[in-house]
Amino acid sequence: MDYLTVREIAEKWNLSIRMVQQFCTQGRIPGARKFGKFWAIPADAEKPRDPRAVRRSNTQESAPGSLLDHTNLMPLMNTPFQPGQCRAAVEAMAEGPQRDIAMAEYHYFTGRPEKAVKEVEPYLVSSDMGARLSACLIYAYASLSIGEIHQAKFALGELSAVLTAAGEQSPQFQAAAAFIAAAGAVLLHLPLPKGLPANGDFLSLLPTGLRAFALYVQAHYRYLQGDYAASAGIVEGVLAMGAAVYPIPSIYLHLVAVMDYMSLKQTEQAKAHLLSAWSLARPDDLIEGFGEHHGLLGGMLEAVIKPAWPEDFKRIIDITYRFSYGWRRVHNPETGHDVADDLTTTEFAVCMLAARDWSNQSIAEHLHISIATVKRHLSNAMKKLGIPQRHELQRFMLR
Amino acid sequence: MEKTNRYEFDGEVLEVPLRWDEFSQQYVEDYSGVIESPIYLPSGRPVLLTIEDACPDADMADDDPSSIDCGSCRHYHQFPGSLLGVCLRSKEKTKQKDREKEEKEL
Repeated sequence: MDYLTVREIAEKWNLSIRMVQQFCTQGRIPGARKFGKFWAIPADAEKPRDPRAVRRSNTQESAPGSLLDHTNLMPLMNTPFQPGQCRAAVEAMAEGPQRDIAMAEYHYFTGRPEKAVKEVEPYLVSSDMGARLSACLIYAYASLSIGEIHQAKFALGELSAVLTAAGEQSPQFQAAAAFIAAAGAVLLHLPLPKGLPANGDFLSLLPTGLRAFALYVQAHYRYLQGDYAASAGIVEGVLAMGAAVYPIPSIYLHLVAVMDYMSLKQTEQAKAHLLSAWSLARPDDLIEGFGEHHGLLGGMLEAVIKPAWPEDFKRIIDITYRFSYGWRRVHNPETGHDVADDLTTTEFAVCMLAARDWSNQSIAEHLHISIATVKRHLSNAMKKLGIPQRHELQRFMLR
Repeated sequence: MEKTNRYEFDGEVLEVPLRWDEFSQQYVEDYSGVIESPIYLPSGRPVLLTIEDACPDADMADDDPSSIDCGSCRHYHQFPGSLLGVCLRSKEKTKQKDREKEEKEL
């Protein structure tokens, strides 16, 4: 009989390594044998059935109304705290799922996805749906950031499955599932999941901090539709209503405003929002979002962050390379490769602006570089992309 | 021997040097010469990158707001497979260059 390793089975079944190990420990994979510390699994073993399906048929755990306590649903995102007090806010939470999930959020948003992955793994199959939804979302993004693409896809699949099952559950459950599923899809520029309720149906059921982040997702969606003014309007409205006390959603709201205003060529307003985001993020090192959004910020990080905070800028760019590598492998499933992978972050920033009809002179002034340097970056990028004319850049640039 | 790409236009020849690009593992055209300072064909016609910001005399081929560079101008002839091309709206400029050259020689 042929045997496969845990890693090979995880890739075959599109599951995490930890989940396969749990199945082995629980005796749910017939024929799996342990040799020392390692499991050997028959190559023809069948993937165990979804435990949630088993529980639904046997127990009342998933009965309507049994959920949802928002305590464990992205608790750090939903916590107001003063800049500089993020870690203290996490440590002040009660021990258990709430603090564990919050700590994973803290590690993810401060650019430490490896820790976040480990911290949420035990909650991927939790009966606490708030913790499970949060774990799936954090696990998806953190796995993507460390290049574990099959793990990221598994978690995204779990989110879709929960959303499908949510139709039978309480409105609060549906709201939580919709919020998490939308965040998972929109921010990766993937199609919205089928059956996603309209915003108006679930926003009011979310607690304030999560509602603010849901509106960031909505604003991001409008940006992707090319509706920059509407997107900016959502952001300005949410911030005006006091969302700033929730630093994590506020950072992301400000970042999408930067995207909007750069697309509208209102650079001063874009800069103001970037500095607002930075003032919220820097005291706690919440820099992940800046790396995630680099390609959409129109060179603003180069223009504003790099001159004043060069060391932080380098760390943000490291996040950008890591995140975009994983992002493309989820976003481009056919080839696993997008030729825009070959561009440096500076080339990408220049190309984004050129694709938005900025002249070489405007780009040079914005990025504080010479026109010759702009032409060098642009011509290098166009040769890498194999395009003969500037207007074809739009095919490759994120919108 | 230096590797080059050779383009012919209206009886004139342009040789563009190639450089080895480690990243893409192939030879690519080296535009550093034309980026730093313009180059000219023997007739005086300027050789420009397609991405150069259009001059005030540009005559755009369409009304697209993205048409802001030499590549979008009717008077620009781009060499196939290259980002370089020749500005053909240059009779006046050719005369100007000839006059400046004569003055320098004197």
